[in-house]
Amino acid sequence: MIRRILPILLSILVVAPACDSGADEHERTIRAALKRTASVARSFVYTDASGGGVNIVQGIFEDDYRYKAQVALGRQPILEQVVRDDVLALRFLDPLAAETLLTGRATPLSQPGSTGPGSAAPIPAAGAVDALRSGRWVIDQAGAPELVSSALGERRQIGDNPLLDGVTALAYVERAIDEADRIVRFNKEASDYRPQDDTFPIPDGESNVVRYDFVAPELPRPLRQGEGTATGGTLQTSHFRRMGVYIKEGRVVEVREEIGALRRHVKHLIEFYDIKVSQDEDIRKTGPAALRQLNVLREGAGTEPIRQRSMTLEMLDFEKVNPIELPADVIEGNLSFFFNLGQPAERSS
Amino acid sequence: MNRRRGAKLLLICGVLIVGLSSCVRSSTVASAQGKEIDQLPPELVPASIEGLFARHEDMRAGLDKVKRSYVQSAGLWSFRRQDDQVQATLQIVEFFDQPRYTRPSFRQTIVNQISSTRPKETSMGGHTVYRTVGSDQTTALWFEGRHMFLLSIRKDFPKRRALIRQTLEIAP
Repeated sequence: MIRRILPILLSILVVAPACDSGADEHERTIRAALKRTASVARSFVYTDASGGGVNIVQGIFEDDYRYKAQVALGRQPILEQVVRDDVLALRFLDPLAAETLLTGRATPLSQPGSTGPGSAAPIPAAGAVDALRSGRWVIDQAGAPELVSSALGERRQIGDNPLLDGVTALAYVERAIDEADRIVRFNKEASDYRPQDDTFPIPDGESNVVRYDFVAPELPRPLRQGEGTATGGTLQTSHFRRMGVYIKEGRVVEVREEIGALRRHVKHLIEFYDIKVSQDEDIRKTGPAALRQLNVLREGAGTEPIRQRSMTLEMLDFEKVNPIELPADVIEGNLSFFFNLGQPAERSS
Repeated sequence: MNRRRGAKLLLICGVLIVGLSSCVRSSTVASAQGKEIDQLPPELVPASIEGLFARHEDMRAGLDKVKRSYVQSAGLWSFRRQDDQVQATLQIVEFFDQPRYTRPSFRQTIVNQISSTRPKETSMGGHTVYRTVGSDQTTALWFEGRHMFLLSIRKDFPKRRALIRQTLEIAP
């Protein structure tokens, strides 16, 4: 009897998927590393590539209330921001692009009849706008954005504001932990490791860097009601997310994220959402095409689209940054008309 | 802030001491009857911070209501403008000198009590500061050794963060 059971047992051990009994421990490790990383001075580079465009935010944190950041859209720097406690300083490097980013308007502030998101925002003081357009620093003594989540208020979509996305990236990773099905320690020897789906760098064995991967929840089957077509409303970004967090000496040194459809997603979308793509073509074509069709269904039903993207967050120069100082040669102004800077502080009347 | 809201800020801070008394479970925990809780000396807080005048508020009446507590001594200060309007309050609590009161689990229990919304852990000047932002006020709480600091600031005071940073410098 033993002779019959033993091969079966051995085969189970060989083909069993990576059984990561330490999933909770990995979650605790990552949360602790995020906390440790957020508590020290550091510089960072945040890159967000989506829809053919690339947004880059480079910045320095002295602490959570003193930081500075530069935003580049498509690698063209467009604005710089310095926050020092309650004070906000802003400078446009590309005035038109910066205004579009910070107001959400398609047309510059001065054009009458501007429409679009935020068109109800107050008309800004001419002096501050002129100074920004001429490339000067404008300083608002009480304009620092409130990044404590209870004050952010509105539901913000990633990608709407790369500046805020960049400075709050660690909080985004924390939320991704909550949305993941489980967390595993990277192991390329695991039987369920699919190298063809892995676009993240593999840590060098000598580097003391440990990579943890977030496993996405399984795609739910759609709820069909009446004769209506499934619209993908139950699908979330988390279903299409792959994230890798790299930790070294207890701190997060890098985060990678891909939001997109893999082969199993495409198969699911074809089967349940009537998506029309060929499964035989390269996944780098069919994945985005499938998600685009899904987003048409979602938007038709009033649901936010799933934003496909690649994100990289690199943390550098731990505890080696200089104190954040405000720029010299500034003009004082009220910057609260830029609602995309984050929830502005309430001002005394 | 009108006088009623200023009084409300002071009242909320006073209640915290009484609230901490409900944490006491074991009879072996060091505790003090209300009358034994000392008031911290007024000169612990500078006379002015960020343009506001600090006034030491008498908590004796509130402390007398406390039956048992982790607290050895406490103090309450209001920060006021020239026109005497309260802009912020600072409560400092000194716990008994026992290791359990510096444990993360004990501190987290305190943090969880200060607001109905979950405080966010932030970093300022090398300190861990727990913050909440409400409709009327913003609060900041931090620990330093055996001491806990709770700073509540009117939401429309323009230098809230500068006030927190300056107050972090207070060393009991």
